[in-house]
Amino acid sequence: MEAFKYNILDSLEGDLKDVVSDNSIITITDSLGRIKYANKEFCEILECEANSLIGETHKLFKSHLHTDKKYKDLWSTIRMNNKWHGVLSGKSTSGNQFWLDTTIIPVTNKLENTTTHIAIYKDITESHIQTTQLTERNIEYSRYKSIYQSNNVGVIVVTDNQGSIIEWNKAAELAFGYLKKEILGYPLSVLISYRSKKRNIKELVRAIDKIKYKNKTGTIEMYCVRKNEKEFPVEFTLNTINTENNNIYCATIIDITKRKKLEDKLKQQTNALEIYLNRVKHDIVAPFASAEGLLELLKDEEVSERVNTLSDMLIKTIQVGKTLVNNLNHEPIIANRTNALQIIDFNIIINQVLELLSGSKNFELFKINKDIINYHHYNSNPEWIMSIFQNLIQNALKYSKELSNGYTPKIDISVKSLQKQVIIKVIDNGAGISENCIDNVFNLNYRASKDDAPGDGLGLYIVKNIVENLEGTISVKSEINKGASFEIILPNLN
Amino acid sequence: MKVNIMLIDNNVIDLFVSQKNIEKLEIDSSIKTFNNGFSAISFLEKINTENNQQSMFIPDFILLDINMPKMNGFQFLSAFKKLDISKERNIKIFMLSASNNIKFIENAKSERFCSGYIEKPINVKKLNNMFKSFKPFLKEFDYHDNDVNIV
Repeated sequence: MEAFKYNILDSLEGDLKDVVSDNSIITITDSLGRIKYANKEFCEILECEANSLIGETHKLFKSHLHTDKKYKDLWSTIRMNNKWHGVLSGKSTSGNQFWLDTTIIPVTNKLENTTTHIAIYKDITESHIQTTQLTERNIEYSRYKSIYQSNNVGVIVVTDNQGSIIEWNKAAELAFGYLKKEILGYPLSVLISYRSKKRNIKELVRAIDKIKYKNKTGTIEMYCVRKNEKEFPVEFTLNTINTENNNIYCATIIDITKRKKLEDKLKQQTNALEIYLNRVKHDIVAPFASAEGLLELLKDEEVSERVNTLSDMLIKTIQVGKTLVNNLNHEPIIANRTNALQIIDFNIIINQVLELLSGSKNFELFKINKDIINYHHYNSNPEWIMSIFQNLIQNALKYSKELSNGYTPKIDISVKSLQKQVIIKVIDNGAGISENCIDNVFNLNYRASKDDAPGDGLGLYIVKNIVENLEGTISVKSEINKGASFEIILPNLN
Repeated sequence: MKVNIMLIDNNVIDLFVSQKNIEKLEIDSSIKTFNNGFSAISFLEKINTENNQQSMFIPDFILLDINMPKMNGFQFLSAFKKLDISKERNIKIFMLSASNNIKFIENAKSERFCSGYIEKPINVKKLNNMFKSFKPFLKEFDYHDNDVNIV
């Protein structure tokens, strides 16, 4: 760049001088960087008076001693009498940062042999801030974009509001086998397993409804299909993102093949365990039953009175063993916290239980009343509810009074299914529970003093456990020789 | 009128107990015992093929144990279903088990060819109830009555 050897301000006509000075931002500094002149606009930017500037060094120019490359360049350029152009920034008196597009022109006065620097500025603060923000945003955008693109673990597929795929990342490529260019524009449904498509799509629609009308994410389990038509189970999380014009959907897909395998294995093993337990239970009970049958035959042989008495005692002993083993299967029910909730039909359940217990001693002598009022559905685990009734009724059957004339053993079973709770009562007119025992009846291995009653002391403990699992309460009232009354209140949680 | 009863149980003692109890009922009955499901099925098959039904033993009742090795009671039932005799004759099958497993009872009840479930051991009372359920108008031990057609 050639040196400019104007003597602008000095040589210009007065009017022109005013025009230039009024319409631009100008300073004039001497060769050492001291301000000789600053116009009003410049003072406004610095938020100070011209008086305080004149004679001081121009802070924006710093000095030639400054190590920053920009200022070194500035000073070396203008010392060579060349024009310098660049962006300078500084702070106003009140601390506002500003940016000025600056042109510095060295002007030599040949007569006086001095050089002054005329600087013309353009305030670019606003656009500078904008561009900086934009650049930052661009950097951020490309950073996230590359994180998204290069992520090869989390499969993230983005679709527009029509369900067509608009974004596809590395992990999606690995999981599904489609390249980005192959899949863009296709509907999301090409990824869903054909075999269970109907159900899957139904679930998908439900998930979309869920995110539309309720919260913003919906997670479902389903099967996806690869490019090579292999299917694999996934956990599919859909959320919606509002962009300026449209909703887009973002599907996060997790391959759960491993988890599913483990789940299946666990299920299998639970089943195997249950089968095994039933098998063991049966194999222990079966010889008891055979022996019982044989003893009953022996009694009928009428060998002698003494043999009969002994046979009776043996039969009782065997029945104790049988009941004990038969009750063994209640414990896995408690451990098995399945969520298989169903509408409970108390009538069916109580009938099943009565059927089950119909082989008990003297069962046919009992007068059993059922009173079931069903105002509202109750959802629960039927096995648990059945176990409650089985144990309570078994208990009532077991602790009846000695049979005599004029005494009819009774069991009143009542169920009231209301909107908020279910009230279950089992009332008998049996032997009752003595006052000092009543606090212990729900404890493990507690047994009333009735020696010959078969049982393992587990029954009421199991009932209490189930009731607590169902967040309910159980209470018992009793009077000796008048009977016992059990009341269970279960909250209707649905 | 003779009542033909078929007993299927792998446990010889239980077969013996059932047999003795049926004998005690003092009804005119003939009993055939099988200690596994396969031989019972092949016996029933033969009735069908030889087509000589007059002199043959055709069961009116089958007492079927559930827990048997190789072919259990439910497997027997599904094999039985395929036999022609299951459609031609009204054979009542009662399933037996020593354990009061609610699943067995439910499964047994849902079987079309199963008329009931009896908890072991068998005794006279349970047998009576079983027969009575098909002849409610009869008094106990009155199965000789000729005007009743069991079949």
